[in-house]
Amino acid sequence: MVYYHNKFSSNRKKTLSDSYILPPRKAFICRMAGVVFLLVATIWGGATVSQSIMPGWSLACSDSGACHPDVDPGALLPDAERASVSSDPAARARFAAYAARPRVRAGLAGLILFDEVFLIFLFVAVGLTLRRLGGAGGPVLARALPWLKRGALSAVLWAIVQPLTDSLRAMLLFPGTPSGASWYIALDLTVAGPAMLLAIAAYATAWALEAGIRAERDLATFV
Amino acid sequence: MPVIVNLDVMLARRKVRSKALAEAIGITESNLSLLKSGKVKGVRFSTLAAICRYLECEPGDILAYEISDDDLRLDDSE
Repeated sequence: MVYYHNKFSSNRKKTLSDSYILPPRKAFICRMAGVVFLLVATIWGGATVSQSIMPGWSLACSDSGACHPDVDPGALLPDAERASVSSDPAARARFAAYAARPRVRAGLAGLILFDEVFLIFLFVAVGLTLRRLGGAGGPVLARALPWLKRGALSAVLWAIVQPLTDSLRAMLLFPGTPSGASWYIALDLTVAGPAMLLAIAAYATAWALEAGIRAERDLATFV
Repeated sequence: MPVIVNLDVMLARRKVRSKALAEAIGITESNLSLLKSGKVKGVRFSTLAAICRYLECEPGDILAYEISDDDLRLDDSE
């Protein structure tokens, strides 16, 4: 009876581990992209806070390149109401006085913060996802996927909240307009609609990847 | 009732140490120990083939099964 001493190399684990380490260049690009998203989140957060302190704040730039800050609460109105306010100096003055009331400003600030917090969190989540994907060693994909799911969920919530905050903002400001208080339902999904669909797709992708990782881990327990 | 692993019996018959078998077929001793105790979720065909080649035996010499209705799957499509 002869025993072979050569190793039967086919038994080496050939399955991918869950340490999906990108090539160095791709990992670097991934991490830098993550930094960009985190920076955008920081800047967006600052802009949101500014907007909540001064509702209707914007930076108006002329053709000459000169930019100056402008505060116009009327910009927060729907198009038709904005036109009716801006066309009449008296209406504009009444509206400005109404929008300056503490309760109105507090309501606008709350709505702005509520509207943008999900978008800011989305940027943070995508940034952290990319940072983890570009990380070195360990279960890289398993660490990144939870943040991808959180970002996708945040995008879905943002898409749902958009029409709600638009409607509430308009109804909050309508009493200061010539037409007076009235109900308003905003159903503009031109941006939020595709965003929600993409977010759902991202969430489903994260599910599929997690299922793949679980299956791979189960397979890895096979000797 | 899980599949019964009789690898330790074959190792004794062939007078082969676990360490030697593990080195020969390219798995760790700990994995081989788990296999002997039947605590693994599954065995690759390649591993089984390597064991059978090294110990010059058949898969039936290493694996046994006692009939049990508990092992029937609820999924009747199989």
